[in-house]
Amino acid sequence: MLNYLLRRILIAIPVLAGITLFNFLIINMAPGNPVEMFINPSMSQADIDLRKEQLGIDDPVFIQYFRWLGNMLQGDFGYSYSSYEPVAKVVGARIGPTLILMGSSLLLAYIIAVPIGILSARKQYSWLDYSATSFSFLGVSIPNFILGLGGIYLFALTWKLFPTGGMYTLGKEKTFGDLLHHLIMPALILATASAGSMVRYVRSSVLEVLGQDYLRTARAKGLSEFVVINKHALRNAMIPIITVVGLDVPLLFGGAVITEQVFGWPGMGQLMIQSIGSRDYPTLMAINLIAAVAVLAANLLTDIAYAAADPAIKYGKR
Amino acid sequence: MEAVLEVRQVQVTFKTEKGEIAPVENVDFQLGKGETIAIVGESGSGKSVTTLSIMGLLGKAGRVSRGYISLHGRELTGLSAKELNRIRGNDISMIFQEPMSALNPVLTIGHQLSEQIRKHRGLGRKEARAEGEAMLRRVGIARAESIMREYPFALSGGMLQRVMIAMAMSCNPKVLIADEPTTALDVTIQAQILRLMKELKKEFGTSILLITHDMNVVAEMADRVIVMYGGEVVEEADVFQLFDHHRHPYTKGLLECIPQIGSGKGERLAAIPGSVPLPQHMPRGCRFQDRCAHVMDKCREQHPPLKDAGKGHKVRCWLTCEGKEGEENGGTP
Repeated sequence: MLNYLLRRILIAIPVLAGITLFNFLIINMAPGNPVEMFINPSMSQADIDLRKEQLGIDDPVFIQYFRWLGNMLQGDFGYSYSSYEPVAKVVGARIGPTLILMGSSLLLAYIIAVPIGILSARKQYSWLDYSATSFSFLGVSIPNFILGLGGIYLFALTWKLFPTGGMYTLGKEKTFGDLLHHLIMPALILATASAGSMVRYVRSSVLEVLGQDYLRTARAKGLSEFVVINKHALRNAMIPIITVVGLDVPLLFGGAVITEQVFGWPGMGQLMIQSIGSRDYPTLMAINLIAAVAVLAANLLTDIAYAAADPAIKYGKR
Repeated sequence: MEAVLEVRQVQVTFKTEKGEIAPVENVDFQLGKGETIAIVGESGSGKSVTTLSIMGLLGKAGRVSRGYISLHGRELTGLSAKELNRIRGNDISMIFQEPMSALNPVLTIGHQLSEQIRKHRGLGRKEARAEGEAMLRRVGIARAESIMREYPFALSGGMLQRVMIAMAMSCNPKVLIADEPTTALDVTIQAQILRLMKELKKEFGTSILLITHDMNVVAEMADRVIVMYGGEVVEEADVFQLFDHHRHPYTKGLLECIPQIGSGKGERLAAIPGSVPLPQHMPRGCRFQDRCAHVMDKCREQHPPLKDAGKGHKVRCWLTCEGKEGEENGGTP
């Protein structure tokens, strides 16, 4: 197992290098450059060129990339082009809020979806099953920003239950209760898409397991229906679900970008949109790198969880 | 003989989209202490549904709609799920056709074995494990200790069936229901499993209800045989009586289907043409009429009752019971 982990981590290194290279090229191919963002009419062409030289963006792209890579490997992510602060500090301040938002919405999605999926499977073709599958379909198909705007209109403007956005109330002490109050709406809305697809995965997975012979054996042993379902059926049904959880992480990242924007949540997604606007290359590169590491880590964790859940899977043995 | 399990006039119905169907009707027998009864018949004859109805495992759509099943005089039909769970796996246990899929793939053998012992015998975790291990040794598994820690995927079909038997016998049941226990196994393993079942039956005094379509298994194991066709019992007799003096044309057909070595080269294997009619298409009169070589007008009009032909030999046929007016022992729909 340790061998396997080491191998997986070593394989991840070239993958990450590839991802950063592609990102760097794509960012540089986008029209416009950071200097154009703070040009004013009084600047001469010489001033502009000097500025470009100072930022190092007059060099060929590959040289720029390797300079960035070299610095990054030494722990230096450079300075933000728009705020002139170290990127590590700018991005670092945003990781926490994004983790809070993503983590709580992932948790919410499963707390909602797993019981509904199980119930839906056990009462197949009942009105409960039909409404669960219909709502999950709605959850998957309505875009986050529509749900977000609708939510803000209803819960924030009309009923005044939740704030319209932000993470804490301005000018007040930062308390956990205040955070929770601000978190509920964006987390729920970010959770809908994951919850919607998760309901369907859990439902079909449980349905498949319910028809298995070993459940008949479990019942023939005189075990109660509660034990049959929650011990014998569920452990088997959860194995395919683990894969879905792993696949959910990249989707959630994408969803977080939009949700953070709609709710003014001070996370990485919001920072990313701002950085794209100002062509803030170093900040963008750092965010991309973090996203890539998170996705690769999620995949690795999925595989480890798989081995833990399914005794027939053992890594590191040939 | 003291009756352990009684199945009386049982009809099982299932709800389907096109109304109710009755895959089992007119099933009537009793299983004595230490006795082995084999139920034989083709696919669709209602053997498995009969056993599932005894176990209360018919599912939501099925129910025993007529008659009753009782264990030592205690009626099982109509018991609550909780009461039934105290009997299943304890007084009546069951082994199945496919040992590979009958065990839970994500739980260890030890877990699955001791879970049942803990539930019914009220033992602690440790004692139950020790008990389970002893049971594994009893069914001929030498490395019992390490097998306890294995998952089902690591064992062969024969081993898994031994585990299933160990599990089924672990609470010393009065009745063991074995639904085609050797069908999925290699021939050499089949003989071992059958021998094991015989040994355990003697040791524990268990009665066995054996479902099979293999007449060789019947000859090896059974004291008495029940032949089922189209959801009803068509013949019941002592095993020797059945092989030598069967009276129902269907039984005759089944016995002729056993291939014999040296019975003339190049001969076609015998078969009964056609198949069992579906429950929703049961004909009026005798259910075997369309496949019977001796069909008469009466067979097409009247449903034959199960008649006693003496010495516990019962048969449901107009041809062979004509003229003999014994007491009727089967329901007519």
